[in-house]
Amino acid sequence: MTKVISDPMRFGRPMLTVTVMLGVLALAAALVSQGCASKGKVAEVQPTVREAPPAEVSAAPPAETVLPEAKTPDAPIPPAPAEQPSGKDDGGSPAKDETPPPSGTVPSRRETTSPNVKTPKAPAAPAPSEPARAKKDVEPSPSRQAAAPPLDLKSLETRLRETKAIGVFTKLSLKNKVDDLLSRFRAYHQGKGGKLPELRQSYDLLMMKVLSLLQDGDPPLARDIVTSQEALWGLLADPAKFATLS
Amino acid sequence: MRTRATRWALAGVAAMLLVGPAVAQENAAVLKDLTAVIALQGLPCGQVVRATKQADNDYIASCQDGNRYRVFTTAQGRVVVQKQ
Repeated sequence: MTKVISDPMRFGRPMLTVTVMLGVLALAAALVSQGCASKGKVAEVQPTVREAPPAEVSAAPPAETVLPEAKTPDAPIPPAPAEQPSGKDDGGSPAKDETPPPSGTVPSRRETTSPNVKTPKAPAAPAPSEPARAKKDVEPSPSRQAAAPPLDLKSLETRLRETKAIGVFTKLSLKNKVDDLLSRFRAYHQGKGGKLPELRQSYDLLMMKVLSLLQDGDPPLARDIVTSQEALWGLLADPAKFATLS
Repeated sequence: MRTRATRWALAGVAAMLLVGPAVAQENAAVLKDLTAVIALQGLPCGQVVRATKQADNDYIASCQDGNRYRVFTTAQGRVVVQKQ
């Protein structure tokens, strides 16, 4: 009896384990199936994302053929380096002539993120907005350059006197240095001594001192001085113009 | 008497509150000006931390690094910085 009783118990445990194992297997199968499905979805998504860049590369050639990047896209791989130099050019150059090319390159990147077919159409839309910004950035500099020439020595002197960014002692000290430099220029033009490179160095140093004093307290004046720095040097270096000053 | 005294005291406190910041601002401007002048002369200073006015346009400036300079203007309008 004990055996009989014990047997069903023994048989019952395996049955329970079997059912549990079956349940676990069913769950595992379900999970595997779902996992496979999710993998399939991920695989579907990733290929689309990965396919986008080649589509960009493929889309780039048509853009190159169209207009702007005829020089940069010589090979299919180099487009990325070609875009980087263009960005460097934008930052480093004065940006008169080279501003349009970067605008063309940037939209191409944005286009790459967009669907493949729409890429050619997309560049046209963002391109005008960015050139417009570039024009806005470029326009003020010429206007400032145009406004810079009027900043002669007298106007510079008056503006330096009126500015509150420099104290009285500093203004006097600067005036002394300007007077000293003008006397050196006078001596140079009279043939009494001095060399133009040395005068240029002194002039640049004095300008740096003035700018360092003004750049925080009176940025507009500092900007105007920077833009008219060469014009002022022209006034000082040219004997005829310097004679009119004195 | 007490009310008058309190009024005067309040007026004095108000005046100090109003004038104090302006004086401090002016002093800060002078210190900055002297710092710039000494730096323009190429003399070591760092920053002027204290200035004693001796006369009009005549100051003794104490620098952060311990140097002391007399900064004044001559009759010809030149700024002179003398190490003390």
